[in-house]
Amino acid sequence: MRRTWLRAFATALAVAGLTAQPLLAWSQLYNAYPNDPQSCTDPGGYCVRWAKTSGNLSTTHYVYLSANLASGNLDLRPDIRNAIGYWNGAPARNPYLVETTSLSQSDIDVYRGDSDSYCGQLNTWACTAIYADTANGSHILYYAGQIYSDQVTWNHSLTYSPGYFVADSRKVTTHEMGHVEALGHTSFTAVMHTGAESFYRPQTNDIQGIQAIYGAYP
Amino acid sequence: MKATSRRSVVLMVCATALLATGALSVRASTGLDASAAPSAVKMPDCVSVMLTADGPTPSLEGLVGAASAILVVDVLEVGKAQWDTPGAVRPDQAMLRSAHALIVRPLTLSVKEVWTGHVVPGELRAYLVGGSVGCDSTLVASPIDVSPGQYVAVAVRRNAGDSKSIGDLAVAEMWAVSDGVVKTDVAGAVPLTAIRQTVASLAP
Repeated sequence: MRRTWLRAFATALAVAGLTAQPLLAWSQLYNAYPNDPQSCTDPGGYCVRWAKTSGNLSTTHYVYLSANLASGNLDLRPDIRNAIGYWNGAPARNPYLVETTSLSQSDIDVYRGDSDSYCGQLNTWACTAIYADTANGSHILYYAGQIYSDQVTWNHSLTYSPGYFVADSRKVTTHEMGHVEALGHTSFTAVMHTGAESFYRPQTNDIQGIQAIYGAYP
Repeated sequence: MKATSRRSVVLMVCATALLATGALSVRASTGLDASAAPSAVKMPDCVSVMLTADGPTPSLEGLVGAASAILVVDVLEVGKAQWDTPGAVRPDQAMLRSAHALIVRPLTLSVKEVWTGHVVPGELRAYLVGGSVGCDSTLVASPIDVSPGQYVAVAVRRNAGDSKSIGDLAVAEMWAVSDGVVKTDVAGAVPLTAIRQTVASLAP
C-alpha cells in the first residue's frame, strides 16, 4: 500500500518536473521583432538563442572588448566585465562568457559605435546587433556586437537621469549583455526592463528568462 | 517495508524528479544539441541581422540636436532592399563583421522645406535600415513604413564614418504630414507651422 503511494508520488513529481514553468511571467521572453516570421511571438516561429550553452563549462563564448571602449569620457570595459560576471553567475545554462584579446577567436565583439550604421537612428542609447543563422530552419545566434551611441554621456551615477544624453553605463551594459544572452525586453522588474530601474544586476525575472531559454543550472 | 527498501524508493523518487526537472527539461526547452554547433564562425546560407535599440523616445530638442538635417520632403521612390556594401554584394563573414553590413532600402526624396541643417534643395538620397534580400534580412525593432507619394517630415543623420554604397544619410525619424498636421511619436499630432517654428527655435 505504502509502496503504491510512493510510486504515485514519484510519478507525480516527474510529471510536475516535466511541466514546471517559472513562477513569474515576462512580457517578452526572447528578442523578438515585429513582422518577423521567425519571431518567438509568432506561432511556430523560432527563437534566437545560443546553440552551445554552458551545460558543459568547458564550452565558452569568447568576448572581445574593443580598445575604443576606453575612449571618450569613460572607460566602459570594467562595466562590461562586471556584466559578464553577473550573467556568468546566474544559475542557468546560459552562455558562459570569457574575455579574449583575439578578435579572430571571439564570438561576441563589444565596441563603441560612434557614427556607426548600427546605431544610425537617433533614438538610441545603445544597441545590440545579433547575427543569426537562419538556414535549414534553425535560428542559431552565433555572433553579436554591442554598440554605444555618441549621443550619450556615460557616467557611473546609479540615479537614472531623466536627461536624454546621460546614462548609467553599468545598468545599460548589463542590459545590453542580456540581449546578447538572447533576452528581449520586459515590462516586469528586471534589468531587461526598457525604462528606468535603480539596479544593474540581473534580477529574478531576468534569471528566470534565461533559465526558460537554456535550463536551470543544477 | 525494510529501511533499505524505503531508502531506495526515496532515492528513486529523487532521481526521477532530478531527471525530470533537469536534463529532460533542458532538452525540451532548447530543442538544440549543444554539441552540434561548431565553435568556428562561418558565413551561413541565410543570415539575419537583428538590431535591438535602447533608449527613451527622444524629445524634439534631442532630435534637433542630433540630426544632421530635418526636412519636409516628397517621397519619390523607395528602392528595393539591398546590402549596403560596395556594389550591394552579399558580404562575406569578414565584411559583415568589420563593415557592419546591413540591408537597407534606398530612398529618393524631393526636398520641399529645410528646417535645420544644410541640404541643397532638389533630389536627395537617403536610406532606411531594414529589409530582406533573398533569405537574408535585417530587422529593426521599430521599422518605419514609407511609400512613394508620401509627404513627410524627416530627420536624417549623416554617418560620416560610413562609406556605404547608398550614401551616408540614414533616416532617423519620419513623420507623415497630412492636411497641414505632422503626426509625431513624441508630441502627437502637431500643426506643421507650429513644429516648424519649434524646430527653428531649437536649431543651433
